[in-house]
Amino acid sequence: MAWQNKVLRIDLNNKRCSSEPLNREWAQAYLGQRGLATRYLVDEIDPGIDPLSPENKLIFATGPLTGTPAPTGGRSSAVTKSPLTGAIAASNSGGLFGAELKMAGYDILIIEGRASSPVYLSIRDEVAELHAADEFWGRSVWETEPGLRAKLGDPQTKIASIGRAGEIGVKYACIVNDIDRAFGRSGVGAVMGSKNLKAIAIRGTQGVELNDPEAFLSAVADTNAFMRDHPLKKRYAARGTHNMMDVTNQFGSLPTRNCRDVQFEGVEAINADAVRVPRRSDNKPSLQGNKACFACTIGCGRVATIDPQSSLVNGNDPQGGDRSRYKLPSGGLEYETAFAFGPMCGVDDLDAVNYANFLCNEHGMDPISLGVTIAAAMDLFEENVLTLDHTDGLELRFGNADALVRAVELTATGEGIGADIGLGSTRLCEKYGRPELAMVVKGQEFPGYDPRAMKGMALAYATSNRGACHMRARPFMEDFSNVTTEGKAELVKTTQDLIGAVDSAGICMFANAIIAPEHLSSMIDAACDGDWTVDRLRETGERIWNLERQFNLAAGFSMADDSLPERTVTEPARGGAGTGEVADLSTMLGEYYALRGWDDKGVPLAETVRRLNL
Amino acid sequence: MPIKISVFGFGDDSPALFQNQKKILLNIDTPATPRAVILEAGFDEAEGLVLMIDNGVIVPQDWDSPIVKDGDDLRVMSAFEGG
Repeated sequence: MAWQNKVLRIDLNNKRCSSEPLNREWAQAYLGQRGLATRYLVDEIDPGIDPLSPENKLIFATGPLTGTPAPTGGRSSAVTKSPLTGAIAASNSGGLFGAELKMAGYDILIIEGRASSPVYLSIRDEVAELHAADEFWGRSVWETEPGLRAKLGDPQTKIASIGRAGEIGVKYACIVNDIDRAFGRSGVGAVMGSKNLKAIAIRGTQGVELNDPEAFLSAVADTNAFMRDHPLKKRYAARGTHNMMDVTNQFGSLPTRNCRDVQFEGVEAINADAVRVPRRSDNKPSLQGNKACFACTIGCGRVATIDPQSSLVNGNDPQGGDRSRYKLPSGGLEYETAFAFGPMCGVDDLDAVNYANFLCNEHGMDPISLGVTIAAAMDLFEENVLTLDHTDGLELRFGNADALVRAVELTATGEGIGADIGLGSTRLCEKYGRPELAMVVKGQEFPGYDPRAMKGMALAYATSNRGACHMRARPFMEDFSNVTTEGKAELVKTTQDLIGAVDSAGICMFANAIIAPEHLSSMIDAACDGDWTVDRLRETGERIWNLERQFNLAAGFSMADDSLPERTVTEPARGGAGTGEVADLSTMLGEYYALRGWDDKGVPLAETVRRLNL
Repeated sequence: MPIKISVFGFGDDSPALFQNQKKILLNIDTPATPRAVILEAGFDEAEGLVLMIDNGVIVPQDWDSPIVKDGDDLRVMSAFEGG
């Protein structure tokens, strides 16, 4: 129970939809979402395949708490082999889509093969059908979602779709659900596009059966009570993740100008205070309010507008479309988006950063990877490697907001220099002979925490199975409290393990940051069959981590890929708490491998494999 | 001499003493402990706070040591796990 015990399999080669029983043994070992989907993927694909070939599979999965009243219990994952990195991709989204999949009666949705022409998948409880999507192909997410909902005639239909970026194979294309929530990282949208699958529309009307409903509601009530007045919850709601920009800037871990710097002089124009300042034109701030995902009691999401007088929202866009759609409120800035289009590109223009964010939602692109890749392109331009000939006259310099905007537009449509930016930082910088300018780990772009001052984050990035990621470990507060490598290996390992379970349970990482592991275990224990103690959750997360590692090793990765970009290990930070420091993995990595039960090459030892039943 | 306290990441939620300003001067006997300073400034709990003087982070074990001196610029940041 709490699992629906059903898998929906979509064979695009033969346009066949079928359901099958969930592997209960795997559910007990891998919980759901990221863990369970990875288990299915590992069983069903060869790790050596081309990620954009029909042999790759795209697996959506819910967790046992998805679709329940557990606070933030609306999460789902998309797992596949990443076209950006070649490693495992596990991308997690909120909104309403995941809960709807669960309500339709499925724990897992497996997409396999490739349709001969564009299709969309319609799921209405037990009825799953593929239909031609020619009328939506070439359309944006913002056109597809309302258009498909109107076509299906049910306003309660929840939709996940790809935009132009996923269709043309931008390596970090994402899958957008509910207009502005996304399975954001690692290019899962490019995989969906390679399968000619434009959208998935779901209407679910079933409930979720719980093992012990009374105990579950009691556990939920306890968790909600704990969260209600918690200071962190208040800060997430009041300030959003955008708040972190002031902290990282002061601390000296705000990646700036492609990590040339760690502090940004223009931060006050684009931080969480700036979005609250009324504009001269209409006396309204950019920030319009909060929004929340399914069952969320935090509401960290933002709704924002662009200055109605801005040229970005007036006249026509480069394709001749009316720009007035950008005058409407839409998803506002999270910290990562603000960092990637702001300091990382040296841009302090709030409207430009908001516009770039809107385009990511509209066309389905990961704003972290896009912003960081544009920063790499700006670095190449500043170094005279990229010239005006390459950019069709675009002055792609750090700080040029107009160039940022144009680069985003070109990437969404794959035109000009946008086609190169759509390759991601690694391929872009390799193409132009300067691979060291790619701020990536395992081919995935850096989030907004520079690893020179944040020692734990350095290890977290280097060892993340999906490439550079700030959500796979939790060294934040310890890093901000102490610029040292001491104790960080154990911290990274233990938080990676717990997060593996959280990412597989159906709740949000931000709830996890507030509640204790005991809250999570009590909710899962009441919802599901089996005894779900905190220790078992940690072991489940460790099992997931090792399974992902095994996939990556089989795909050709090695300890050489547990590393950081040259700039961060050779060029000392020029400000903040890490002044004079470089990122240093030398002691932490060996300590980390030992704690993991891996050999000195980063390969899980036989006894570790045995202990975790891999 | 007073010490200067600057806040980052609080928005409108900084303690009343700040009156929505980002910086105040606080008169307190020095040397003082960082914890005493932030309590005097009106922060009612320490969870999620990061403290720095100049470019140096105040490590948790020093929060109760008398290390804040006359003329110091104490920076108080409101941190959590971002995304």
